Amino acid sequence: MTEMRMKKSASRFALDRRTFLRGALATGASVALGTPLLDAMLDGNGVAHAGGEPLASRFGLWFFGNGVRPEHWIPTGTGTDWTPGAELRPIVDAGLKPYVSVVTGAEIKTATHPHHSGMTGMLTGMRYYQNGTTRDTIVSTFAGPSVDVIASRWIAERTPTPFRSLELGVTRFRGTDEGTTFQHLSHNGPNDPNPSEYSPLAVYRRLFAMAPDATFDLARRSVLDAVGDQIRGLQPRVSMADRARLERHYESVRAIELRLAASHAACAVPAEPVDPGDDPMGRERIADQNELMSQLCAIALGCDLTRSFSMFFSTAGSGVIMWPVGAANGLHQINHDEGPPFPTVHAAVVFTMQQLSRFLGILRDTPDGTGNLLDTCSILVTSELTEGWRHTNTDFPCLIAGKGNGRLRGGIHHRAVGANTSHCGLTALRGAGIDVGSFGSAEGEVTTPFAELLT
Amino acid sequence: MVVGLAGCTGELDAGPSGTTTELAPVTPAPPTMHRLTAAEHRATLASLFPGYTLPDASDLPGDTSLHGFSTVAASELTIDAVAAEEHEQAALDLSAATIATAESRLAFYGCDVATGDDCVRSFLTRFGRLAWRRPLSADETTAMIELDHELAGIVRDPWRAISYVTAAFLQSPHFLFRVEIGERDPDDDRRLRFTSLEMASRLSFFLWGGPPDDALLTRGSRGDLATEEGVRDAALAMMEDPRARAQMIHFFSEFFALERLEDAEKNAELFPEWTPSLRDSMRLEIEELVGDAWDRDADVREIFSTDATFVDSELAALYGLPDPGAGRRVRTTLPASAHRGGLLGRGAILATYAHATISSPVRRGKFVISNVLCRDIPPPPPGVPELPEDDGSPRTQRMRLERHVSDPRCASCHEAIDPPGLALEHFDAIGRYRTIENTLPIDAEVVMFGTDLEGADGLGDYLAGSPAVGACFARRMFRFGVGHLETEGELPAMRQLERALRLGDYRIRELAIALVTSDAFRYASIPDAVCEEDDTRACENACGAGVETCTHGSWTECTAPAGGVELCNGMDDDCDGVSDEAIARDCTSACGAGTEMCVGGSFMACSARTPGLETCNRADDDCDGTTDEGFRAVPVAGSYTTLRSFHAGCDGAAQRVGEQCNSAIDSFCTASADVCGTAGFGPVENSGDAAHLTCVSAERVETSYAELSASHAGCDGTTQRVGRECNAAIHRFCNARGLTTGFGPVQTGGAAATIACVRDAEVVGTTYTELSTHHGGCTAAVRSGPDCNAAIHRFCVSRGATSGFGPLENGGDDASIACVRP
Repeated sequence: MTEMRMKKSASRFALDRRTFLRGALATGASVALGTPLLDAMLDGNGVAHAGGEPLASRFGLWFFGNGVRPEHWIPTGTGTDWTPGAELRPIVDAGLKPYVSVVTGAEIKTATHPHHSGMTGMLTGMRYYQNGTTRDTIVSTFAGPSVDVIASRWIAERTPTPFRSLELGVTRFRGTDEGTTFQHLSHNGPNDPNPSEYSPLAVYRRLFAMAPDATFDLARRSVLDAVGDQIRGLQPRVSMADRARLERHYESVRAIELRLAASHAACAVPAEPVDPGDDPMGRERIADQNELMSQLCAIALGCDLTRSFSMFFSTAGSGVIMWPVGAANGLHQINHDEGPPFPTVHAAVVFTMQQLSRFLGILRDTPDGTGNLLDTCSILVTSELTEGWRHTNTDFPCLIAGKGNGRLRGGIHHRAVGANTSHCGLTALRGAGIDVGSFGSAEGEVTTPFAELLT
Repeated sequence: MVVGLAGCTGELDAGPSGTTTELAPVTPAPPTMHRLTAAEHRATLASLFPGYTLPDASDLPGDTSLHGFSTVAASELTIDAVAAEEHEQAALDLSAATIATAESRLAFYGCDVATGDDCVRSFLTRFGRLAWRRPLSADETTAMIELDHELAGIVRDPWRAISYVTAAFLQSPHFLFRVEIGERDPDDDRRLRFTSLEMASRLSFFLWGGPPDDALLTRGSRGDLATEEGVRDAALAMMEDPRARAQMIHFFSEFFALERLEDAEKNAELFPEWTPSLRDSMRLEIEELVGDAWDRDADVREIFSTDATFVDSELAALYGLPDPGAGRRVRTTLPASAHRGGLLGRGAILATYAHATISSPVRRGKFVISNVLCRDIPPPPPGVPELPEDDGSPRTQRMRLERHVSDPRCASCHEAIDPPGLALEHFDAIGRYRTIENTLPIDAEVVMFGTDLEGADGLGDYLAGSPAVGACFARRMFRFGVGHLETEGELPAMRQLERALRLGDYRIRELAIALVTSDAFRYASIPDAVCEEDDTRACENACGAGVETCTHGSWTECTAPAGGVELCNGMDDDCDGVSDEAIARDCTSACGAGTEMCVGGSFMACSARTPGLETCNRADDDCDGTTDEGFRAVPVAGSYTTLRSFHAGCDGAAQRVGEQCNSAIDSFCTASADVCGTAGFGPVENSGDAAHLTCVSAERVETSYAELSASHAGCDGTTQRVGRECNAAIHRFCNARGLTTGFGPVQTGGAAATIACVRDAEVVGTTYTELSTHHGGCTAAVRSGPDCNAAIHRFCVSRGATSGFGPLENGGDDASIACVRP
């Protein structure tokens, strides 16, 4: 903990700390928060890999709602020789181009309703599952596991970590009442979401708070074991649907028990973050929230607490008020109202990509093994629409970030007009070494990744 | 998706499936386990732990709303990984509180559990019945006693052991879900009837929003609730309870999606009056209107035309009513000139269904059409056509919408959605009345389903006389009450409810009774069989093979070896897939008792520490019962440069002493590894960039200005956040907790304040005359601030102490201060 040390000289401490920030945050982005979260990462002992495996691969999903403006999104030129439009410019400006490949032209093959089909088509490769048969406005959920769950299950079976995955949320708009598709990102299956956590402090406490105490942990394991027995005893008495729901309850309880039973290499505990909350005008501090969630994600990956994550920047059809770009009303509404040339929507996409760049920059600037965290990741970045004005599902936004421990080339623009968006999901999975044979079902199913993006 | 062309919205009487038969028999839905909603979970914890502090709502799983109601999602969703962790933490926190003191132990458990199994059994019987809403089976009681023994073996303390058993109850599926399976209906073996005991829960969660109490469980156990008459009698009695009123308000809140008001963002420049308290007041108005209708058992549609209102100063100002006076909320009547009609012309509805800067006739219209009238609106078509270019001339919302309607693909829906929203156009995004928008007069005259009406008054009168409003209300209460999306087989039951409501003059209680006595509420269909009766199939677990048999359409548990007792041998003796789990034996050291855990077939070293040299690490290294003795106060020669890196506000320019500096100092002391302090105060000396401070070992207390102001009214977080009056408040607050004194607030956030209490400071009475000899700037005229910090620090140093803080209390020339020693 040398950076945290404070002998008799306060000024020396301050100098060390600034040095750290300069080193860790080399992108030059401003650091609004004084929380030295990443200190733990810079400690020589901070990065601990269970089993000492040097090449842990990580899978991530980074999602933002309402799509992009294609005229500003699609790069000119393809292959390695491309120039970004204004909306991908923040990624290139942050020096992340070698780490990010862009797929354009792909479309949702299961499209019947823009938001619902886009969300589930992109993330499951399947049609949405309509919840109930009323003629009300569609209420839907995912028909199968989302791409991040396919990844986290695969990883957990082979290299279990204390947390199967981490679900993080940034903006606070929690979705409309049109089913879990509009409210949650990660799904195990129909109506079985893994809700995102929106409080950095809660994430921090989940990862670090419980001090290990052998006796207490043993007692907890006994209790959890008893609860597991109760679930097992109840299952045969209820319907098949309820049995499946109880199975998930069992898995949830079991996950705590196994975490207590396993011995994990300790990771230095960083300082506790403070939830950003609202500014005096009642506006959410989006960039600060993004910063803290990004740092927590990097720490969790670096400490090998998990190898899978999802970052829910904003929901499908999000009504987030993008005040940093001057928006006064919800983004979804502006998509419907603004009309060409869409200045506010465009500015909101640029801002969103700045936030993504900050996140990717933190991963890139966090050392891991002989490289950095982003070298080890395969991160699918996408939305639920192509663009919000016409709510289309063709020429869908899809980025794949990270080098996947050498599996991903990075820096490619692949123009794949008319291709199935499911290739994006499968490519991202393969990039993390997740060797599934196919992704999606029916019209959405694919068996090959975009080879152009892979090494 | 087929977009309706002739008429966009579905006719109410057609129903979800087009069924119109009134007299068809009800085919009830299959039984579904119902996960407690957030509100039900909270009510259940409150009833099991009366007088206890419950976990914050944000630390417990939240709801997902499906089809408008948390109760519908409750029959679909389950316990995800994070939820299980939150339930575990809440269970451990609450169960630990039950054994916090000798009094609480006896009060909660009813006897001394150290006296043996009889006491434990009596507790399990009593608590288990309330927690699981049914008596425990003999096997369940035995299993819990065995768990208690196992835990006692681990923790060597019968109270801690039983507290963990309590925690097990709260994480059980029998607690977190309502397990209502039913029994074969004695009159019709093709369906199930919910048992009398299950009906106790069904009635209670619907009518009270929480678990059945002792009396209702007793009625359930006696079999009273197996008959329609028994259910009716119980329900009538339950509706007299205040819990029923609160639950009806809760139903309306979900029905109107009032929780969205919480998140409604409004532009602060346009609407400076938009405050959290105004929002609360708006919500309370609706709740009181609904509660009032419930109390009078009124025609439910009356709320749409009522002129009654409940206002405080802020809401009265918004409505143009006389100020009822600060802190008062009164029932009053809106004058006809207010033109607010009933509920739809009130702030809560108008603000929820609007944008941040402008009204939204579409949102308001959609709310009326789909929520109040139950008419279905298909989603907008894909590939929304582009509107003609805007020429920039001033327009009203109505004129803008008319552009939408100019396209036939949009017109079919907007012609149905827009009228009720346009009728409310006299109200802006937060519900202020207006006659002009963008320099143009408001036109609120509309045609709704062939009826001409104008404004909120006309809309309210229309809805209050509409049978469709009553029918829709019945359908929504049905969905909320049964806790799932209505099935086709249940439609006849819904029709019956609609008729009962109409024949009962639309009175709410009539509807509630009709619902709980309905076949759809009391019966269930047999879930689809997944196997042929008496079929068998092979199965296996970690220890071997077995057989499962199909009974009542589902497979029984596997008969594979159940396994034996888990031993420390590296083997999976109990066949659960994990070896050596939960095995430990006791051990002791001079530092106390510990355990040796079994890992990989052998016991690990004793977990109890061996005494070491006391070091500055916030731990009791030498096991003498005190922490960091000899290191209690540490002076630090710091600087604003350092402090600024912990809180930018403590920059030595804009602020040299104050709230931000308190935070910076505190963060410094808690973050610095080789300083013992768990809190800090200062700057005790400051000059230029130098800012000296003192770190101490303290007991941190997370409190609030509301609590602090109870100790000294001046420290209310508004007029003062740090300063003399807060010093006094904190001193008294710590004193009342049995500690010598305290300082702070060391960290603040809105209404929250963390303070630091110290146990062994020396409180000294002195005078400003005396203090001014240590620093000339600290006089009775100055009383506190940077110079007094320095004076107090030097005064304490002159007495052989390390440092000091204050004034704790002061009056005239007198001041008390606190000195701390190493």
